[in-house]
Amino acid sequence: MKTILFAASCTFMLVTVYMVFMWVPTEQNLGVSQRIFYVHVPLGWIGMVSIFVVGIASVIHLLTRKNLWDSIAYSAAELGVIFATLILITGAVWAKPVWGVWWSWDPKLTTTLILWFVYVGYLMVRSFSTPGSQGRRYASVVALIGAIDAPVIYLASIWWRTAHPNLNIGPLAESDSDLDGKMYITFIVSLVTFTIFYVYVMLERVQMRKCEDDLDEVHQYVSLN
Amino acid sequence: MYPLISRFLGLVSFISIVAVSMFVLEKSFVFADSALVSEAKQNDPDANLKYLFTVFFLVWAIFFGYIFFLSRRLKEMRNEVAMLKKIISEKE
Repeated sequence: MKTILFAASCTFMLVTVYMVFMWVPTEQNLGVSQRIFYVHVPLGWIGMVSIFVVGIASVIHLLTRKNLWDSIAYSAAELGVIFATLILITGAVWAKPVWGVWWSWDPKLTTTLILWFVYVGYLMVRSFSTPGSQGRRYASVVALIGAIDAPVIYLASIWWRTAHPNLNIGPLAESDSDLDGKMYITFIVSLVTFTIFYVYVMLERVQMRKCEDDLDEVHQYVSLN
Repeated sequence: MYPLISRFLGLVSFISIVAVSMFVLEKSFVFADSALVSEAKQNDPDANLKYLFTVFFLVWAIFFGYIFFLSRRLKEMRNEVAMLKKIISEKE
């Protein structure tokens, strides 16, 4: 399964790079910088998915106290930091040629920055707490706060006056999208590519996290005996 | 004691980075406005190519960096397993 996902990730990544650089037409108003869209939006999508995975896995962990769910939540949070960082960086690089500034305290950007802090906060709580269930429970609460922030980010461009472009994906996405046929296909391929890559890395990280937990148990056993 | 000190230093570093970041961002407090960008720059299709390359470079660099971190962690875990096997065999 993982081998297939890895092969699919590599193949789709190459296809996406080809489509973004060679195949898709250049947008007339924004020029070449609009192609950042095909990376930035899928990263945003994965960032959202991650916080939902962290939130749901944390709730199930709080209810069942099973370590597997905690491993899933931790792995998703770690990947969430990576993807949230990339959303902010790619957004800033795109903002410079389009808005003229690297950063603006726009509602969408600010709520995304809050999400980044929530992810970092989750990992900090895990890092600073003593081994055991207490730190996991505290971190689960932090994850739930992050899960509340996710819909706020999504709806920010509807609720507040924002310079950020309108929604392209999700249930509230505009039906009369500005994307033409080739642009839309490239966007969908990029979305699928990053989703496959996320699933692959997530599976690898969860497995590694379980090994880390097992190793901690063996360390405790060895130190006690 | 050592882990506590390193965690404390980690927390102090984190708060410092956040504080400095907030200060820098506060100084660059500008509302987004497309009018800030000259029309000539917007109309030149290749003017912003460097931004596109920068995005791809950064995305790939961070992905590879993360995979490198994972591979190092895996190596550490293998070393830990070998060490634990040795300790257990010595005890037996």
